[in-house]
Amino acid sequence: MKEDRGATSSSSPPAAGAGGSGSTALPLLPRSINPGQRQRFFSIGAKLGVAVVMVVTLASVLAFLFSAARERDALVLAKQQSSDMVADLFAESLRAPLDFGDADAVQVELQHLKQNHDLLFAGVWHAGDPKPMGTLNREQERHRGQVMADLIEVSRQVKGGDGQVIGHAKLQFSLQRENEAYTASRLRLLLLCLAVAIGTVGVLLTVTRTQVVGPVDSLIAAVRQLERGEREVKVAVTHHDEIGRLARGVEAMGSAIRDREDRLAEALGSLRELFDHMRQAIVVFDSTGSVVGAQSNEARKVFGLEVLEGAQIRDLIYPGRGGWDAELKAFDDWLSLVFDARAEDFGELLALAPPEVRLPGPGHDRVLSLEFRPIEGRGVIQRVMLLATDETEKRQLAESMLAQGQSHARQMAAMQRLVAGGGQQFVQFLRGARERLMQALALCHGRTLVSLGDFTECFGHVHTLRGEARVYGLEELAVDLETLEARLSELRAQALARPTDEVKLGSLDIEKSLERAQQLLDEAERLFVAASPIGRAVLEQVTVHRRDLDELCRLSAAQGGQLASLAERLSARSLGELVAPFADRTARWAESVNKRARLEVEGREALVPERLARVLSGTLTHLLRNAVAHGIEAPDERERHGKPAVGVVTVGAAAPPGELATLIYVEDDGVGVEGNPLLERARQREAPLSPEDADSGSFRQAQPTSETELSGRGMGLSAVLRDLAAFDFVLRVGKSASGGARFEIARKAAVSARISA
Amino acid sequence: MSSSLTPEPNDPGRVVVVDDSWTILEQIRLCLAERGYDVRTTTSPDVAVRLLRGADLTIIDFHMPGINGTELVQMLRSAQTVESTCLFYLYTSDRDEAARYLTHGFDGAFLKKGDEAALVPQVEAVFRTVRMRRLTQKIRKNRVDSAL
Repeated sequence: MKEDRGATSSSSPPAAGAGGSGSTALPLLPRSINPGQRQRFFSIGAKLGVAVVMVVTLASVLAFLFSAARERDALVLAKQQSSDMVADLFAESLRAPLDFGDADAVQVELQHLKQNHDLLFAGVWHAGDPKPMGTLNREQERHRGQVMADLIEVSRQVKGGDGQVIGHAKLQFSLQRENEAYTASRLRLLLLCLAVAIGTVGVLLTVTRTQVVGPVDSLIAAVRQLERGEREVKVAVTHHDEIGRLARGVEAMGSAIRDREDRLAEALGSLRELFDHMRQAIVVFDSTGSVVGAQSNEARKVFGLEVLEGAQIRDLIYPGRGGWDAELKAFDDWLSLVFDARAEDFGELLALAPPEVRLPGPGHDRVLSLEFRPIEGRGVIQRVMLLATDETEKRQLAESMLAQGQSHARQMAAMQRLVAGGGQQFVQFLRGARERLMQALALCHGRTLVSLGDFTECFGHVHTLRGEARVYGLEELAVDLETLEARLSELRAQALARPTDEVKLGSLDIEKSLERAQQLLDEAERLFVAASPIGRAVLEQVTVHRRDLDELCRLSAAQGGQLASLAERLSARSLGELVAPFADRTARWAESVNKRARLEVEGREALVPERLARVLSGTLTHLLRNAVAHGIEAPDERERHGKPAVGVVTVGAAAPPGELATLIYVEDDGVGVEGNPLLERARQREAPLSPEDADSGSFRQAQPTSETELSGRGMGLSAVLRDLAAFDFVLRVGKSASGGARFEIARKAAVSARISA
Repeated sequence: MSSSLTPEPNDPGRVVVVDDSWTILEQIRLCLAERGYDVRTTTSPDVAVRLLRGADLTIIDFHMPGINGTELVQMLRSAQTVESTCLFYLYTSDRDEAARYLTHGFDGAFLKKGDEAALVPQVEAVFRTVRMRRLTQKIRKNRVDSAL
């Protein structure tokens, strides 16, 4: 049995394992030769032997019988001839005695016959006389045929001189000697036949053995070698006959198989190389979910197993998952469906296969994207090939993009995301979490024993808080609370083991943990405020419907007074919120003209009146582009003047406490307005820029060298001034503290008042 | 992500989530609604009973004030109509709790509570199961029809 299995075992060349087909390869020799399923085996030698013995024995027996009969016939014939001769002579010698009736002479003749030892009886009769004239009787006269089994009888008439019968004689000769000779020769014949038969059988068997059975055995051994996958097959037959030709044929077949195997192995090798160089882990599984056939190197690496064959695919892609797991359940369902499906249902089923899976790994989970391909046969799925691609690095890269910088920055980014996604939820969480912590603290403050009810409530708060903290990415808080939860769980278990309804808190560590959680919450709040474009105002903000607000403004405007100003404040928007979209844009604009600039905001919580907010975006666009195009110098020039390479553009607001902003400014640390006569004149006379100035063309002529794609053609400023004027705002130009340009947006009334003052 | 991950456009799966924290509910709602699911959330068991109609999946927190997951799932199952095929999943971070999902009366459990990256594939897997059930019924019906 061993060598039969050998063809498919791992020790065989790669061809045996190719696509798992090796396991189903047909054996070269019929199974009936296998001892395991043995049917009665008859060797050709034995069959020939039996046949030869039978034929030779039959031939010998026939030859013996034939020869024996011939031998006896020959003996009897010779005896008969000699008997005839003796009878003729005897009849001749009786003529005279019978002619004369001389009984004595007859008797003398009879006595002469005595010399013949084979003579059994002799009698002489005178013609006409039934009584014999004389007899010679060794035994009783027997009346038998002429030739009997043991004697020969010869009769002769005796004639006289005239030719008349004068008597007759009868002689009987014993065949005993002949019979003895015949018996002796029959035995010899028998022995000879036997010897010939045995000799023939021996010769035939030897010839069969050496010329047929032996070579055939060698052929069988060679075929077995081939079956085992041995590479060098030499048949030990040197005959130059049909079997010799067969042997050479088997050898040729062996080398042909070897050739084909080599080519197959080579093809398989290239395939495997291709397989192994693919970044996909490839495994094939059958309807029982077991992995079959060859797997790629990557598969062994990804699934962390040296031998994948025979492993269950569900254990490979969902290791350590319990029966509760939805993904495992779905995969099991899919597996049972897919092998039962018809070809037309494949498409739909493949869409229901898991698209990816997370494998727990050391340190972090690994993400594999999965692709299933059916291997069809006879209209059903025979096997399924899984191509799994490790996407971990890709994901990590994406994650590390987010996680660049330090933990503070990371948290900041998380907070910014929170703010972007509607910070009010987080504010609500902060408020709710504080309440929970307060309640939990109140329940265990200064106590070493609490009732089970209070304890459970406290536990519930901690549990919920932990979940919420994780939701908002407050990892440190979540980990702290998880530890606390574990501790509480322990205490509850201890309490439940006792008959009392109270829980022993022991030391004050729980209270301390809760206090620390409060501190972490404060820290989170600080970060959140820092991340918010509108600062602390984010904590106070609520969302209302614009329609309701407009309605309120409309109604209150008619009434005037405190209500109107409250409505105006309600509809106002914070500067930070309005400026936030420009932070990135400013940097990009600068990059587009090979400069570097960043935007800073001062007073981001300041409230911008709703009317101004409507046009502020356009105004800021113009002023910021202008600052980048004409104010900020190229990095090398800045460095020559001893300035940092990155220019700073600042947007700020001035507002009396609790009031709306009265002034919004945009300043830069660039070249200032000295090179621009229009702006310089306007700066010197401290008068606001008028749309007419901007339209006059002098503004444009004033900056002939800086007509870049950013700065436009002067029409932007004109439009901005008109927009501002429509809402009673004006734009002034001045000099920033750092020597750059400063533009101020202010109420017309306030500016006029100052000028007149 | 391939198109198979998102629910079928004409039939977005409906998910009901019951938890005592609105924050967690909101997170789950945002996260699942983003992927096209019709998400209904509540902190109240009574409301959960009403939301159950037409739901494919109900996700339940275990520790809730006044009622625990086992009691809630029993209550919901008894309120379930005959034709409802809603699956009930426990949402927890406790592996041992998850392992007792059958005892608690759930169809399964989602682990790693609060981890969106872990929740989404689990919910998607449940909806694959739901769609596989529908597909199986369709295939069976087709086979019976063609046999007739």
